[in-house]
Order: sequence, then C-alpha cells, then structure tokens
Amino acid sequence: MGYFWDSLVQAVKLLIAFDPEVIEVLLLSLKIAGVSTLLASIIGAPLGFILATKEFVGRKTITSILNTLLGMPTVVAGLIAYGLLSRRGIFGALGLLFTWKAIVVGQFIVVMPVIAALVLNAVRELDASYRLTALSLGASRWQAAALVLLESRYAIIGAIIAGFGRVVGEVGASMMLGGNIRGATRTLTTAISLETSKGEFAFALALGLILMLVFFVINSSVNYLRER
Amino acid sequence: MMYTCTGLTKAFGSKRVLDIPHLELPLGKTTMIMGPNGAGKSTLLRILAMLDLDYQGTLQIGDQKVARSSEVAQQFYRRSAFIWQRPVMFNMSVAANVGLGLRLRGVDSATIKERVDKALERLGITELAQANAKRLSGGEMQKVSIARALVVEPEFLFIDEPSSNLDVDSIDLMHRLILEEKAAGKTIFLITHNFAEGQSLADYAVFLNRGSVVAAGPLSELAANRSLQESAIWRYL
Repeated sequence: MGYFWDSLVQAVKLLIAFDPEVIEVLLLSLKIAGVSTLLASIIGAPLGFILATKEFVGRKTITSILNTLLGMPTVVAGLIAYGLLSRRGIFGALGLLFTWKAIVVGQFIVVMPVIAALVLNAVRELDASYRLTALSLGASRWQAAALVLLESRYAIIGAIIAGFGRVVGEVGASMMLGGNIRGATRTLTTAISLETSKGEFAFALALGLILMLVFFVINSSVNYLRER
Repeated sequence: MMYTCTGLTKAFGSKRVLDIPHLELPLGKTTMIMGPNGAGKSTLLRILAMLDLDYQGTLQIGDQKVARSSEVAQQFYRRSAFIWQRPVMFNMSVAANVGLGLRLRGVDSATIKERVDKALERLGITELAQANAKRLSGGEMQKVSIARALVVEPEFLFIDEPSSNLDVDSIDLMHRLILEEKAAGKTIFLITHNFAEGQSLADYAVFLNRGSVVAAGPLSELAANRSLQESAIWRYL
C-alpha cells in the first residue's frame, strides 16, 4: 500500500509541476481523439439519424452491422486499419502507418459505429411521438425531420461526447497503429502501458489520474446534456 | 354533409383491431367515441385524423373521396388540430410551442404573437408564456396543447380523452372552450370514458366494442335506446 501511496504523491507532484512530457502526451491524446471523433461524427451522426427516422431497404441490415461493430475489440479495429495502411495495403502509399494519423484511422473505425448507434437509439426514442406531433401541427416531412433533429440535439451532442470518451481511453488500436513513439504517437493509454512495464509506476499513475479526470469531465458533460 | 368510412379495417399482424363496414359521422357537429379499453377508439380517431394511413377501406369527407396518401394527409393536417391524452411538448418556451402550428403554416411573426397571446389568455396561462414547456406539470402541458390546437383555428378538432390530467376547474374551462368551438361550427371528434361529459358536449355518438361499432347515431336517440342500455356496453358508460 505504501508503494501505491508514494507513487500517488509523486504522480500528484508531476501534475502540479505541469511536467512537460505529461502535458505533451495529454495534448496529443486529446488531438487524436478529437480528430477521430470529429470525422466519425460527420458520418456517424447523420447515419444514426437517417436510420432512426427513415424507412428504406437495407435499414435493418445496416443497423445489425452497426450493432455488431459496437462490440468489436479495439485491437481488431487496429488490425483492420493496419491492413489498410501497411505498405502492402490499399492506402500503404500514403505512408501513414506509425503516425498519429494512423491512430485516427483506427479510432475512427472504433468510434463511428458507437456514435451512429447512440444517435440512432436516442433519436428513435423521440422520433415516433415528436414526428407525429410535428406532422399533426402542419409540418411538412422536412419540417418534421428538422423539429425531431432540433429536439434530439442534446442527445446527439451527448452521443458524440460519449464517443470521444470511448476513443480517448482506447489502447489496442493506438498501440498497433502508432507504435508508441515518444513525442509522435505516444498517447495517454499507450504511455500508461509502457511506463508501467518500465517500472515507472508514478508516471503511469499521473497519466492514469489525468485520464480519469478526462472521463469525469466527459461523464459530467453527458449527464448535463441528458438533463436538458 | 358526412364523414363516411366504408369497409374500414385495421389489423396489427393477424389481429384485427377495427372492422367497420359502414359509418357516417356528421360534419360540423361534435361526435363522441366511447367504448371499453381495447375497443379501437384511438385507432379510429387516428384513422379519421389521417395520422394512421395503414388501414383498408375508404374515407370520404362530404362528397370528396380521401386518397390514402401522405400528401393528402399533410394537407388535411393544415385544416385540423389534435389534443392528445399525453401531449408532447417541444423543448422550447410555452409561447413557441403554442405558436408552432402557425409558424409551420408560414404565418408572420406579428400575427403569431397576437394570436398566441390571445390563446394563452383564453386558457389562463399567460404567466407561463416564457416557461420551458417540457418543465410544466401534466395539467399545464394539457392546457398548452389545447391552446396549441385552438390557435390554428382548425376546421376539424380531434381530442383524445380531454379531461385526463386536468383538475375540476380546468375541465370546466376546457368544456367551455369545446362548446365555443362547437358553436363556431367546427367538426369535433372526441374520445371520452365519461358519458356525462360526452353528453354535455356531443351531438352524436359512436359506441365501439372489440373493433366493431355497437351503436352510432344522434346522442338523444342512443340515450333513449333500450336495447343499447340493456347491452353489456352500457356498463362502461
């Protein structure tokens, strides 16, 4: 227990001192998770909204695929991205492997289905009653869809924030695609894994505390939005 | 002039929930729809309101056959208004909720404000104008939904259990408003479980049981109908 507390004290000291390496890893993690979440939102949020509000052939199949992808281990997402980005892969010529952009690709595969599924569930819950009410008030189909979108705005933002939370804590794809290169692809989670194996428990713990703080902010934001 | 249903059936899977060979309901009058739970009242109301287009049969308003299409339904919604048993409020102010139907019809802002103010005053909820409609009590929401329905000055008014969620004073107010709309010649269809309430508001009645019409006609005739009074349906009234 003494070892843990000593490490915890050291970790807090590192945080208070704004240790440059800790800050660098934190900022890179937020950048990668932010970019991947943004890209995934651009596709996932409209996809979830359309699946929740429109009837079309193949809708059930796409929903089933999305639900299957939800449970995909992040290391498998990393494997898929690795296959695409490795030298012999379709996008090998871009030379993205072992750069932060490669991690973005892996995280995109992880988080896009999460955002789409969360938006789908949130909007589907609202859609039936709100669309009917909007139509009954004289809305056109487009106006009704816009009103449902307006009504589900907080749920959609909540889904995007939850998606960010999923990737900021992701380790499998980041390790496989980024290679955990110091100053280039080292994220909070890959650094925690490496520092622990090196015996730098205090440093790993400092990063862990930051990660928990990030999750706290994310959860508080999601809860706040749920109450709106 | 009548609202006529011919060969009207509706099924959920293999279960038939509505089976009405022929039914004529007067336009410009108030019709109450009564019956026990599961009789098909809400299903019939939704079909009459064209909110449910998944049925078999034909509808005719006056001498005009109603095509079963979402475009025709959309035009009809602009002539109608609905008061639900559990009203749905949009996450905006009470005034914005009440004015939404007018805004969707392209009415200008000054007219919307004027008509919304009047509607709120009519319902006695002027002080709630700027409150978020989602944070109101059930009774207040019901009043907002009544104001939202009346503000568009509909030709057709569909009401599902109007007195649910309301206290005694509010029920009196709502009855007064329905009678005013009735006096203005509106076509009103209302579902109620309260026979006395229906009797004070309606001219015409439809009694449903297990998806079929048990009796339909002017309320005065039905109230004097001995065989109806002796039937099992009467104990629900």
